[in-house]
Amino acid sequence: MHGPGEILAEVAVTREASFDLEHEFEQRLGDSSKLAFRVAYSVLRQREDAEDVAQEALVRAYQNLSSLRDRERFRAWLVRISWRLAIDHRRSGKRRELREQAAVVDEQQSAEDEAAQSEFRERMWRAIDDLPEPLRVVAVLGGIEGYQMNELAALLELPEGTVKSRLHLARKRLLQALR
Amino acid sequence: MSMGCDVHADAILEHALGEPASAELQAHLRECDPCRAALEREQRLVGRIDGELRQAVAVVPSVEFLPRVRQRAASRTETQFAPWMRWLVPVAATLALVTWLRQPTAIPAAQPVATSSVVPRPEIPVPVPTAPAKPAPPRMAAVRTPAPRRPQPEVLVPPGEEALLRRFVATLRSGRFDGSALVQPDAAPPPDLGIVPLAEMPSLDLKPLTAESNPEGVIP
Repeated sequence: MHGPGEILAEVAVTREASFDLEHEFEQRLGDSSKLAFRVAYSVLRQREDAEDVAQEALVRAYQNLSSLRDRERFRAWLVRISWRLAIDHRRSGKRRELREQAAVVDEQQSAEDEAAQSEFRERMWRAIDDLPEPLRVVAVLGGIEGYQMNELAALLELPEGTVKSRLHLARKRLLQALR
Repeated sequence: MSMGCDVHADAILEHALGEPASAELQAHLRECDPCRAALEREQRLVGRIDGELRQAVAVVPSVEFLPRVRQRAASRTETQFAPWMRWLVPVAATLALVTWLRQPTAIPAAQPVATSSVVPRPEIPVPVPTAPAKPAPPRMAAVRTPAPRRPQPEVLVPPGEEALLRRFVATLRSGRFDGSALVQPDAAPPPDLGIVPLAEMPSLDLKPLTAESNPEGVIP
């Protein structure tokens, strides 16, 4: 049975830990918020939805930050949360309607401005969507972070060899689809 | 690209993706213009895919993005912890007060009276009882209640009641105010505390003062 003194001490410790957590989270926000947004955007391709999903991912990361023992894994962890949330969001019926509307808008813009480029981009995204998920994640993260194998491997928490072979396979399939 | 070039198609694709060309492929490319052209096409396409992908994801969130994240995190944290934090301090303070009141030290314990400090009572002529005198009351035993945190004052209890007292204190500390701990069937019978029965006083025949009994009117 905890005494009242112990409870008050726990309150003080909890508050102090909360301040530390907020401080750390603020630092993480500066480092990783763009990454979360881009991961969500690569799945959703719609700014408002991507921002909403990335915000949720960051808040969830904040809420569970204390449970993450190895803080070096934060970015990989955030990528996973953002990717999962974005996939879930995309699967929802509401999101599907919005995507179709956005696609119509994009097509109109492409007709007015850079038709060829937009068309190619549309085809490219469709080809990316058709990739199996492990290949899609690697391809998208390669686009976001560049093709540095050690960084991609750290983000995906996979061996470098696995990442390299997956990335190669993903690009090969894209190349075949976009010929 | 001739029929013989088909065997190099996959190697050309791999080379376009950055894989090193084998000596065989290099030799073929030196001789075959269509395959060289195919390789250049594939390399341009790979470059375009990479460039488009980089460009497509090189988006930045709006300026409201970070403030909204902070706002959402703050509201979520408030929702999660506010009721707990709001009630914890008063509850802890109440617990502290109750615990302090339940401590035996809250009320100053009766101090043992030293024998030398006993003030002798005035002599009153009391008839000596015929019954044999009771044995002297047993000496009080000092019981120190087990409390690891702070030193506890000594409480004087009659011998044989230490276990009973300890049981009662444990009952209090467990949060159950159970008076039955004092009347447990296995508890030791109340020891003789050495209470001396009141001496029998002869009834006094009090009569009002009269002139006959007090002719001088002197108040005794």
